[in-house]
Amino acid sequence: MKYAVTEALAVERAPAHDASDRHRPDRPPMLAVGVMIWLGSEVMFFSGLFAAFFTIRAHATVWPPAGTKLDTIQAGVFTAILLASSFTMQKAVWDQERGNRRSAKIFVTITLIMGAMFIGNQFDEWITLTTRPDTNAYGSLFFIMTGVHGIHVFLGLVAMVFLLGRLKGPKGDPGETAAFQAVSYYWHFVDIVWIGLFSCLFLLK
Amino acid sequence: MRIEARLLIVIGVFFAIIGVIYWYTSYEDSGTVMLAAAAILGLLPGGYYLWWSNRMRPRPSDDPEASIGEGSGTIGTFPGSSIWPFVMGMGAFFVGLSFVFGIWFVPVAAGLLVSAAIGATVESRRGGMV
Repeated sequence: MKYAVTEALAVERAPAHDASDRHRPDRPPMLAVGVMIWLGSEVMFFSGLFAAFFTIRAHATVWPPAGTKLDTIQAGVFTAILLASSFTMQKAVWDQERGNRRSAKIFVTITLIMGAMFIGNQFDEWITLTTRPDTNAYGSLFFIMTGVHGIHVFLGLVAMVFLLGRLKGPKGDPGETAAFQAVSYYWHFVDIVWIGLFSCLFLLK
Repeated sequence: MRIEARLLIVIGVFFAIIGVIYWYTSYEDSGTVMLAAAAILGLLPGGYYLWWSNRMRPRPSDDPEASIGEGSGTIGTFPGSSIWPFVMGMGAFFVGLSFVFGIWFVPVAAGLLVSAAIGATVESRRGGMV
């Protein structure tokens, strides 16, 4: 049967690697190379939203508009949780690189739970906020920016579920480290974007 | 990797310089933010490639004295053709359309997205066209 998936062997032109190369790879994984480029484009995507935010803010006399009630402290707490989840994600990557898959599984799960808590708070904010998307431009911006970011967080959580599934498989999967690194890059990106969003939406006057 | 790193870092540094000039000549927030983001667009992958270029085994492409023959042979594993990225794209498109035509579009989009996720996963394990 002719398979559509093309499998090609990477031909090694250098001498064969010995065991000491196992923990010091000499090529960046192609997945990580591509994910870095893609994260650059995602930065541009979010910067469009930030530019809209600053443009609308520049035309307003009072910012946030009168009547906007934000629970900055609650959002700040969950910002700290998301920030901490970046550290747990990085710990999981380091564990996986060292072959400690049990610990990696634990820390990916912790990261997943913290990310889910963040999304839960986002939903709670969405439901309880008195300003609605159609109240004023600030409301529209708030829901679009936090919503798009929330989708990114959710997709990161989906990726983590796939990572956990991968950890259930046999040891020695050569692409596993690359997948962990790529998901961690994405997760750090999501975290840093949220720091920017939180500063603009909640702290900037 | 050095050439790729240099290309991206030059882009990043250029936009950083332009961003600084733009801020001090206009004091305009939105444009400065976008120029800063364009600088990150270059510096993020560029920095990553630069970090790796100092640590990696040189490729034939990195050697100006290399011959064509050194770069010959198979170069990697590439995914075969698949319908599922298209299905996923249509699912995402339908989610956008739901803003225009109504929320009833979302179940259609969700169906497309879920089937794309399942189909891509099964295809990646089984091989062949699913």
